[in-house]
Amino acid sequence: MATRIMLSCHEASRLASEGRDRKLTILEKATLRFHIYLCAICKKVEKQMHLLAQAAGRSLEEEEKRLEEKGVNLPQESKDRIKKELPNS
Amino acid sequence: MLYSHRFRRELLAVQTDVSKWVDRYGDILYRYALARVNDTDVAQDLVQDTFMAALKAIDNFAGKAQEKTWLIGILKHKIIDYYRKKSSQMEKSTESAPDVDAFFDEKGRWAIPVNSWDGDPDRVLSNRQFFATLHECMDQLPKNQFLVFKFREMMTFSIEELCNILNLTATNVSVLLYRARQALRKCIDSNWFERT
Repeated sequence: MATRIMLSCHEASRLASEGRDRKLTILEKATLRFHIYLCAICKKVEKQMHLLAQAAGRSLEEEEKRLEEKGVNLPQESKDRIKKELPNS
Repeated sequence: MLYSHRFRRELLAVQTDVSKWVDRYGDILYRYALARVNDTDVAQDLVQDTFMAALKAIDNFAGKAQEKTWLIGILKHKIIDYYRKKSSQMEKSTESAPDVDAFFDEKGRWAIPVNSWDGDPDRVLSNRQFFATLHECMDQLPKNQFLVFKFREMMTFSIEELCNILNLTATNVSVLLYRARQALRKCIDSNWFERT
């Protein structure tokens, strides 16, 4: 990667995505933050990516809550089977 | 093997605890698994495996306050193992999706509209329509992009775990995640947003 100070939006959005999964180098972090500081669109996109991640995690929690409200439980036969598998007390 | 009286009492106490745990945490673990594997039989098996593993590892268990967290941690690993075994059955699809490069001009500047979403993230995250749109957009993703997004962002698996499950390098995974995130963001942007 060329060592330039100013990233393009394309490069910045790629780096922002990478930064969600690995530690960026000091240079990468600095060039990214510099671009975001100057670019309102990329600032928006970074926030939206973050929101997407939060939403993804939240949607699983919502699914669990929905299952609970529907009364979805571990079937009793399953519970009995597990207890039977446990060494006898 | 001969046990001392005290050892046997402690052993019984531990076994009783795990039996109680089935009643106390079985339902929670089951729903956690079901939300992630979408298969009632598999979910039941994973919960059973979790309790069996918990019994074996009981010596590592630190303290009462972390029971649920500890059990869910074991279950999460069982889920990862499940997907890793399943991966050989997953189709290795070829990507045929809108290329992210098309979102930018020849100088690398944004070439598609990027709208403002509701300024308040909490309001967005409480909006059912947003989640419906998210799921519709996820369904439109190519298979591999869908999977990396699901495993990474929904289930918070590590990159290494993704590599193991999908049999890809970290670089492959990184590219797929980038494409998935870009595609989803654009899809949601096009289909749902509230002007601030």
